[in-house]
Amino acid sequence: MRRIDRRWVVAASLVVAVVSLAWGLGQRQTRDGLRNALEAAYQRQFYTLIDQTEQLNVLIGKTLVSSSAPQTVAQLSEIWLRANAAQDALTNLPVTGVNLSSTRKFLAQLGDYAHSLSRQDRSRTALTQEEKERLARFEDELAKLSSQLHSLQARLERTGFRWAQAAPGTTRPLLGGARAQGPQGPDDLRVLGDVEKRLQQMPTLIYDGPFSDHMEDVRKPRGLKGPVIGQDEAQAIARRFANLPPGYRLVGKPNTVRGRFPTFAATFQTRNAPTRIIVHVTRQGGHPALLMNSRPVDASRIGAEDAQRRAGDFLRKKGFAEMIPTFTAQDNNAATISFVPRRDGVVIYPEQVKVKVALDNGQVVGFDATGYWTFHQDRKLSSPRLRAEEAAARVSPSVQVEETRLALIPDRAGKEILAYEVRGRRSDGTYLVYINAMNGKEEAILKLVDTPSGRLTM
Amino acid sequence: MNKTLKMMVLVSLLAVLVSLGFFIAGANAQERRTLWWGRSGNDVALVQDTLRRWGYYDGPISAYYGWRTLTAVASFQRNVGLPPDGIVGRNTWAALGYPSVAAAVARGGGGGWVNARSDELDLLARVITGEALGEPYDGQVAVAAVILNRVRHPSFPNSLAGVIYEPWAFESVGNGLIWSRPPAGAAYSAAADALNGWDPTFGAIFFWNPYKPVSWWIWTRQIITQIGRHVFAI
Repeated sequence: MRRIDRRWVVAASLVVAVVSLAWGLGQRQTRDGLRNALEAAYQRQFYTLIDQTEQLNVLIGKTLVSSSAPQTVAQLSEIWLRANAAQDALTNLPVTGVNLSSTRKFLAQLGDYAHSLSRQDRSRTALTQEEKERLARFEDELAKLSSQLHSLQARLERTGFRWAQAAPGTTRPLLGGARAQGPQGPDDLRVLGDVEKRLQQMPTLIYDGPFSDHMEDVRKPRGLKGPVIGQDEAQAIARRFANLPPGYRLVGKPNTVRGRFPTFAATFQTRNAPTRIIVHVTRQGGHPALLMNSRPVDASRIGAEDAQRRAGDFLRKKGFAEMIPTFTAQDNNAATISFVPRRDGVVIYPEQVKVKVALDNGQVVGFDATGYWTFHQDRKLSSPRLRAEEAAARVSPSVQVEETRLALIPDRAGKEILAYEVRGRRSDGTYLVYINAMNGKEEAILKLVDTPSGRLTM
Repeated sequence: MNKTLKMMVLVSLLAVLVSLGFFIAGANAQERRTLWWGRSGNDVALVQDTLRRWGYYDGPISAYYGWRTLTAVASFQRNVGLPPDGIVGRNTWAALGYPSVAAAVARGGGGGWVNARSDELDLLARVITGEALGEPYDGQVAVAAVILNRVRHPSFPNSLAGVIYEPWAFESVGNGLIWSRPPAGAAYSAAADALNGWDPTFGAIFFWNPYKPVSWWIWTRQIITQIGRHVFAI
């Protein structure tokens, strides 16, 4: 083997060194460019947060002073807008050391509360005394938040803080990278932790909106009656309900699911077929509430109406009476059909059951009765004060009414309302308008969007 | 002198090629390569995920074709009547549910559905693949359900993209897996189920892997259940 001339070795090493250096410098330039772009995005969010909070502060003051109802509604709408913008900006900041869920909830609830106030009938008065007191409470906290954000901004400006620093444990800044831009760390953002602690003490707020503090209770099941069952009984119920093909064995013991909707979850599996079947049985009363069959579905062979019929048969066999289909969604060769009960001529929307049918052989591969068992109860519904024709007459003349029926619908705060569901066509599609059966108020409007994969409501 | 020059040109070309290699290495091929022991990549991760869900493979989704993956593949091939050589070729891919016809197979529809919610479906499928590859089916649905529950919760952003892209919320966004891993077929089913309302946690807004280091704060949340390698809490 010829001895390699020293010149070649030196030349080669030089070339490699130069190329590596050039590459390294190029990489550094890219990194700096990216970091700057990221920093710009975060700075924008921070300044938006400060700006919107400041404006909110002033707005609430104006709302509390105003005695004009139309002005109040306009101001409440603007509070909703700016509170949402502030919450959005806050959730876009990379704050790692502090948990800010109460601060974020504070802003979201303020916006939602203002929105619910603006939707009420303001023809007689601007705001009631109680509403003013609640808004004043928000105003207090907002003033403190705003001033603390201002002092935080001043501090970060002084210390040269950069939001776009590496999170601990992911990448290490190069020598002289992040450090060169000033001292930084979770201490700089500590004041946000103080804000958070104080906002955790906000009193419970119950009002007519989806972010009200009572919504957790609304979702607690009231349809579950009967004795509490144990794991073994749950297993037996699950096996019976799922109608398992031969060869399926239980995997481990049924899993305990705690929280709002306590169940036992049994998983069945077989070695030869690649699927898992999961069945949830409620702990109270032993009602099967959920079924998921993960088998891959082949190309569709049966149609939507056939699937709907099979789903209906399945429900009847499992003891769900008087169920009518409402909406169908089709994804990945399976159709998911929603059913609701119709009792005494009233369609009870909260008591929903979903059935998923595989379109290759019509097998039921999914079942979800969570809605049903949460809201199922004996109800004494009052007779409607309006007649169906009166309700239909209240719908906009631009809509061609096709059908009207009575329905029980939940409002934004979970309260159940008896309404007439008026289905009508307009030039751009089908609409469902819900007219309160007691006072004729327009409660909600849904638009039906037809897609190849089913009917969506928006 | 000529020979010196030629040598220097050759060596510098080599150095340039080596540097270029750093750039190309990041790209991924999405075609169905033939896989055998020693290969690595996202398609290996896909094989591991599929076999794990079906009970053949119980190791980590390492994207590296090692001994455990080999025995799992051979076991699967034996079961479906293919020669158990441990090599994932055309026939084995087809048996796993990924026939060689490219594109849109993952969506499972022949006619190329245009779903009005396809943006939500794509986004959710990507997050499921990034966060819960290798998890049981109900675990994947649960991950998507957590995201949808967060959209409806006052402490979180009001949109799907807002929840998913919240800084430092999801590991697969922070490390880029959400874009580099092509969504697995089952992820679309799981995403569709979650969008249709299925939630095996009945309201969870947090999930984490209890065997990985996480912030102490998250352990103060009320735990609902554990599915696969994830704990779900509210």
